[in-house]
Amino acid sequence: MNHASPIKTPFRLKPELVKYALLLPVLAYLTVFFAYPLFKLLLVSVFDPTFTPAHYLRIFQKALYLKVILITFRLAFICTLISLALGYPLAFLLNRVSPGTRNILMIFIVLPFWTSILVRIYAWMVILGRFGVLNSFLLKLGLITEPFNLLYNSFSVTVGMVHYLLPFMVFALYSAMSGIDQDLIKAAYNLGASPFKAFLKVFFPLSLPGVGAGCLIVFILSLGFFITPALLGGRKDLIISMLIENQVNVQLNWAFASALGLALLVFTLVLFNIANRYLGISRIWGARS
Amino acid sequence: MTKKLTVSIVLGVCLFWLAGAQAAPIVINVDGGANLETLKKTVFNPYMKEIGNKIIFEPGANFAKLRAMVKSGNVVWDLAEAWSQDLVMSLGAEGVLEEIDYSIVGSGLYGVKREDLYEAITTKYGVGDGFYSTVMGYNAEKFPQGKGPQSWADFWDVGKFPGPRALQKGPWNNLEFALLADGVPRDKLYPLDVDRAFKSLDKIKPHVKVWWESGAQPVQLLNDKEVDMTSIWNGRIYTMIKEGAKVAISWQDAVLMASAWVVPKGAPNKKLAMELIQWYLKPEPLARHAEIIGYPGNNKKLYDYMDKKYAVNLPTYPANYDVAVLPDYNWWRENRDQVTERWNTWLLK
Repeated sequence: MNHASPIKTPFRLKPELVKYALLLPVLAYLTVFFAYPLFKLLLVSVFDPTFTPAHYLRIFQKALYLKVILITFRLAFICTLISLALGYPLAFLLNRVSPGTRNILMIFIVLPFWTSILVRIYAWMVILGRFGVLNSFLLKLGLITEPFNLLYNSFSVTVGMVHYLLPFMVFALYSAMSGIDQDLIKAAYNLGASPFKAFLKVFFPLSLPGVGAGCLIVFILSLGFFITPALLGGRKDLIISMLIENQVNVQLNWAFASALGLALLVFTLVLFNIANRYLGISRIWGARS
Repeated sequence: MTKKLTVSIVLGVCLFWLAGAQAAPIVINVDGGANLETLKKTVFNPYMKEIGNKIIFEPGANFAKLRAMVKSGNVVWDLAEAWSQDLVMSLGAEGVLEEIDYSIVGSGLYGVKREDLYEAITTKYGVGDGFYSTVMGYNAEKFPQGKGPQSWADFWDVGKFPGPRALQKGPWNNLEFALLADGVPRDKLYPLDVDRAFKSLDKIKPHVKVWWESGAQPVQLLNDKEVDMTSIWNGRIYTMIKEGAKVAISWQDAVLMASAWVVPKGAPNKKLAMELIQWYLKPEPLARHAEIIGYPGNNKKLYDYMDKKYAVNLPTYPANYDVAVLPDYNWWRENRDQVTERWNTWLLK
């Protein structure tokens, strides 16, 4: 490193020092509002009031909690897959249409955000109910004689959740797709590829970081859902956030609630680590695999 | 010039200080909705007008929040409404509540004496504020007058009374209903035979379409004909019937509970809160409140101010009170945690 560095820094400081100094506010914020509360949560879960691992042991001793965590992850996984399946074509369409049409489509995608989630949940109850819109329509047309059982089961929960999560997936995908250089596709055509081949070999691989980002966002959001499964779900749709809420608000057993929360965090980190090893998800933010 | 300035400043400060020296507003934490609106009309607005103290309402009862407030020493609420007696007991035992000062609450300051109140819900840490019952509501079009399910045994009888059902998501009330349906007499319920209750619940589980969580759900379920019968809080179905819905109630073996006013420990306006409780217990406003919403208050004299046609719909009306189940709060306080865990495991199977 010679003295005539091309980068100009204030007060002639080394560039690395400035880089770290700029990170300080963010680090301070994360420490105070994220790391410290998590640490306190850990303290609450093991000191009740003296040191005890009882709350963590309870999670593994009673079959209920692992079963519920499994249900939670399975639901999040299914919602992520469905959001991806529906979101990818939608983002692809957004990428291809003219800017004018794109703006109109964007408005339709963003519109649900302006409705409260409770209103949306009740709307789904009206549509999917035993004598709701869908069933009444099919019954009147004579296509069915008995109403379908569409509400208060895993189907209605998934529908309600995907309805909320889809825009997040679409935006992540679209943002990655809009960064793909269209000239590369044209080059593929010039080299003799069919539109399908061009998509498969050029466009799709380049959109994978967006797929990874979208799936990550949607999966994490799904883990935290509470009100949708509580109102739209059946008796088998018990997810971990509902148990934690019960412990916090009704049982007032905050030590156990903290243990459950931290267990969820650990399981998620482990899952992410495994996924990263095989799918290289951290490449989204530029990590070397 | 400076003398005038000094005088004005001193006067200004005095006025400011005098303005602040009025009684500070009382902050009440209570669930919002129709109940709060009715209470404001019958009880709280008259209080603000006649006594002159201001009340601020914080809707959304939340005991985790209350506990956090007391533990951190930053208590903002003067009065809160606990939904059940066993909650009052646990919070009281934990030291999170002030003891009720019956020298004010039972003093007759606004005309209410201790002996007018129902002893069972007038306790060390809480003063009962409203009785409510979990009753059975059913579709009166499908099961017309007299032909509907009358008891919990009928609720369990899917042969005689077919159709989808709904029950609350949680063991409270449901364990009692299950035992009653299985033939246990009302006075021999406690201590609850939990194994027997779950065996009985197994029979009804496949027929329960919805397990409701919020009080508004059974209303919507009956309205939409999503289910043909459900457990429901008496005030909710009372309002439904008043609005003309074709539903009917069965009071037989309903579980009678009561919510209570509690004062968080370290509340800023403790004395005013106690006086407000005494005002709340006046029989006539409670009678008006019960007529509208169906939840009678903690004053035996309120029936003196009420027309019989409304009184028959209340949980503490003698005909209904005599067939009600009075829960054992001590049992629930000791067993709620394990039973809830068992319930959640059972529900998932």
